[in-house]
Amino acid sequence: MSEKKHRVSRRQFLNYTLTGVGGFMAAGILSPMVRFALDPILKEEAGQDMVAVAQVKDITTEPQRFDFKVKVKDAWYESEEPRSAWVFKDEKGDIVALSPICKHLGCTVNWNGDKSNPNRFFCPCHYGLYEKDGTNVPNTPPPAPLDRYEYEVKDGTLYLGKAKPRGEA
Amino acid sequence: MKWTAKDVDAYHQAKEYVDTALVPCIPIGSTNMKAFAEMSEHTLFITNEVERQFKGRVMLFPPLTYFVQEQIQARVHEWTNVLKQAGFQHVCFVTSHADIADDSFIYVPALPLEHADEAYKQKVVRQQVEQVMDALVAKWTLKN
Ligand code: FES
Repeated sequence: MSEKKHRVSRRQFLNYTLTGVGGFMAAGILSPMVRFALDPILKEEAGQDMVAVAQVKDITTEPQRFDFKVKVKDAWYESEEPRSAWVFKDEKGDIVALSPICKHLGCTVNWNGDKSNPNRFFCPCHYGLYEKDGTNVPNTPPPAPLDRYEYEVKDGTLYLGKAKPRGEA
Repeated sequence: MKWTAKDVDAYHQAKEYVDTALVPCIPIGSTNMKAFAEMSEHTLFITNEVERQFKGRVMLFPPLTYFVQEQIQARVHEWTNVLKQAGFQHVCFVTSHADIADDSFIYVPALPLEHADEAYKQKVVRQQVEQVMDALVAKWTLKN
């Protein structure tokens, strides 16, 4: 009886230790995997600075394209990447800065790019269309409205931040 | 899209939309190296920029690289056939190398060194990027 009890507890002991060791091993394997999985999210969250893009006095009710550069940090080096925005004032006089990146597969859209669709943004790749406010036109490939840049106006200069899906910006 | 594992994944998801192959053609010479290096830089810069704006429909392939004394036409034909078979309806070659630039290429001359003027350079580069994009759009509209 006492021997049986002893054996059981030894088995239990082994069980515990092995689970413990296995746990360590699993943790050793999993934690880098989790890190990798989370890494892009962590990276994206590391906020982006606002960049001066245009003078407010140059902004009209007609969308104009402004090109600028943002610093992008990649694990090893920092580089400058070109960006563009379609900027205009809406009926209320508020500034709207749209990302030109088509929500279908990422081509660059143009204002009035298609003669038969005036006053719309046009994507030449698969003929995607967006209204002036960025809303995607039904029955064209884009599944969502154009992203909007976060913006700030300081001393007559327009600064743009990150482009965000509509509803978030 | 670019020839990277990540973009190729995206390509497999959207194959029917990516119907254009863009191939930079890069000469290598053992004399006059600097001029060829410049052509290389220039062609790659232009094709990268075109890819950025036309990502959703264009696959930018790694360059077709050749020695200046090589006969390039046969290889261009072969690449065209293989890529067409792979499902790319439009195959476009871009080069800064005047000696090979016939109708099968889009020719984008590299800038003469003497022009140090940044603004001028940028303007020419922008025009050439547009020239290549216009050529692609023209192919697309012909087909549709
Ligand atoms: S990438 Fe714009 S419509 Fe397909």
